[in-house]
Amino acid sequence: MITDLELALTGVVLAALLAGCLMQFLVTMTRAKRARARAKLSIELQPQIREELANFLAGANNLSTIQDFVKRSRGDVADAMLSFQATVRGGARDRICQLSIDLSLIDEWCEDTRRKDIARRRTAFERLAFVCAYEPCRRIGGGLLETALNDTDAEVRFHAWRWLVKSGTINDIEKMFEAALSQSLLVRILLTEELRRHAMRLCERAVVWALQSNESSQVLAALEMLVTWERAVPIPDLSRLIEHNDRRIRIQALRLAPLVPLEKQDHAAIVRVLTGEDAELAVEAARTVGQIRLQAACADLARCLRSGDALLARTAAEALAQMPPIGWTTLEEMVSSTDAITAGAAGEALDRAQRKAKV
Amino acid sequence: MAAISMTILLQVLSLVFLACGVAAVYVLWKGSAHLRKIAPGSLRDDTQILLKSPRVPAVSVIAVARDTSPETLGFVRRLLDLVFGHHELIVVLEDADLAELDVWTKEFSLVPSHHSVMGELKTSRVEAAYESTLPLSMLVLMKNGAGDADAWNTGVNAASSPVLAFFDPRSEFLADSLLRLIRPMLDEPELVYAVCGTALAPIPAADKLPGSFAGLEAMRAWLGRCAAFAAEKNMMAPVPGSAMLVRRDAIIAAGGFTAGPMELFLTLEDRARRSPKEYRAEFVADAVGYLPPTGSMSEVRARLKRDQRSIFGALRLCKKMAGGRFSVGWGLPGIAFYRFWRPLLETLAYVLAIVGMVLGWVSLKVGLLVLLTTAGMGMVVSMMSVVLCELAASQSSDPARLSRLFWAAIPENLGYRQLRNLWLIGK
Repeated sequence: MITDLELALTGVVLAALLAGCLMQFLVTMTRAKRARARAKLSIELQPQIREELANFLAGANNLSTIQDFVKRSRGDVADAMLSFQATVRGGARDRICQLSIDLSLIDEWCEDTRRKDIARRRTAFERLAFVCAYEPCRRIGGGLLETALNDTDAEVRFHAWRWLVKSGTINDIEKMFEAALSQSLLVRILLTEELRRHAMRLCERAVVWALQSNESSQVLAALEMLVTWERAVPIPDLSRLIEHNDRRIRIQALRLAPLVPLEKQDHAAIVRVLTGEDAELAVEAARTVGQIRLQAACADLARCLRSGDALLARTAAEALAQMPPIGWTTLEEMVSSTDAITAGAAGEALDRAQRKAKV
Repeated sequence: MAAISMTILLQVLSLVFLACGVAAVYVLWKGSAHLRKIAPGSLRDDTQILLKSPRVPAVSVIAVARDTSPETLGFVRRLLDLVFGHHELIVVLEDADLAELDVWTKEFSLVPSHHSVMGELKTSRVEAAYESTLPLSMLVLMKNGAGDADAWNTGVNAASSPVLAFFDPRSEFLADSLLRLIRPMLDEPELVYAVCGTALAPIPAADKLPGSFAGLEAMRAWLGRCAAFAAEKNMMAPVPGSAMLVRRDAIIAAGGFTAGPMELFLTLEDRARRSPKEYRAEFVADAVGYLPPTGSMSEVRARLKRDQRSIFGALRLCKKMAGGRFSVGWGLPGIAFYRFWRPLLETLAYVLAIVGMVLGWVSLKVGLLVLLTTAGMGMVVSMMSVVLCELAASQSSDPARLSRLFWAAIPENLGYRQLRNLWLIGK
């Protein structure tokens, strides 16, 4: 009796699971077959579409072939258009963006932004971010930007930011820079690249405001972006940042110093950090002194070389090696030092510098 | 009396197997749902930006080598091929004689180095240090009779980067694995102390049954131990072939290695679970490290055995942790039950059922019940894992391969399963 009951229970559980499993198997098989067919079609169509688009960008006005491709696979045409993203600028880009209107692709992408399927929504926003650099496209899809900026998905928000960088006014870009400062490190790294082309304009107001902020995290994030941009942008009052209370800010400010025009007080601040008690900061300062070739700091570098700290000694020696002839003379004197660290660091740096000079 | 006892015992065992099967299906479903959540397929390829950015922290890749076999040298060469902005490779060479050192010196153009090997962790003396003159930064440290934990700790001491990476020597990985692994750490650098990444090996086009069995094993582990456990906070149990990124300061705070990277990962999870802060390990479902597909039964067996040893090693370690066996949640005890006690009980049930039926003590219906709750349920679990893996994948597989794996669940449970049970409970 109990065995019958157990058998029935097992049978029901197994049958239910198996039925569910078989149904899902059929779904996945159908999906896999469709995907395979789509992939096959893409392999066949993509080179042809790209060639046709290249002809179109070169001036051909016959749209009938592209329209035929649209009938066969709208997704492939959209992908091919997007593949020109990194290679076209100016008039050519406008031409390809206009194509998205002529082929009614943009309306479909706008529709897709309202879908629940996250992958389709992301694709739609990525495509819109590209074509909305063109004013007529912006008039059609521009209203969706606000939605994208507040989307729950980080990828969608990222595409919205890219969209803003490409098509926004300087005020929009400044707002975006401000927003980027409070994002995660990953988003900041990615947005830093997007904002690079606006570095000069951002430094006129937005960067200055950020550096004057009372919040250390904002100042630090702004400095990190500036260091990554590696642009010779004017930074007022860098000495204040070099001697900031937050040592993370001091380190970033020292890294930024070789990249920007410096004032006398900035040089003085760097030397003060070099002669300070914090060894890690002194190492950064020594590196900076070497990069900006601040000959006035040679005596302080020599002191660092004798500090007994191996890393500081090596960095100071490297800095001196970059400042011939005074730096080299100092190193030659240090080679005969009784301290092994000092003599070793000086000897290595001098040897490397002299070999480099011969080459 | 004996007949009734045997029948009742088999009925109870059957119910346990049925419950186990349903639980396994739930875990697989949970894993699939988590995979869909975390890996819906990013459209962007950020690797180029991350490669160039000075804000991405430097990574030290640490490996321990014990011989000069082509596999070991090949593994180190592949580590040298990794692409990253700022990274170095530290190889701790254990018990190498002069002839072996000569092979290493020639292979990687080594010269003596004065690199500092002192650090925060207590280790035995480093016999010698060598640097490579190749364009990539590589440090080789020689040790004698140090043991696993000491060798790994030596690597940690010598590492100059804030993040350390560990790869399985038997695994395959992409050259940009480090760039793919580092993303969660950049997303929340303060809270994410470790990242573990792995993916399913690509299914070969033409495959024999052992290959399909290995594929099914990998799918179950991938959905269960990787994805489903990753859905819970600090409960992951890395599978063989995984690649790991761990913050150096977290390793130092934990007192370094006590055995291998898997044990380290579990120790860190235990510490994170007991911390008031929201520290967590993240899972990356990407081809950053995976075991290559296999086609031989002996290799399938060897992999099972290796994994079994590492699970029980980890369990022994867990017993010593503050939280005991459940210090990293129910995951590890669950795996141990599924990988040892269930095969043991199942084998016992088969023996009892066969003996009972021969002696006429057990009815055919009870025998059928045992078969349905073991082999029948096993088929459903394997078939479900194929389907759920496919549903979680961002790209569809080849329909022929999918179908082959799905139907391989039948022979898998009518022969291989019983053999596997013996492997799992044997020494």
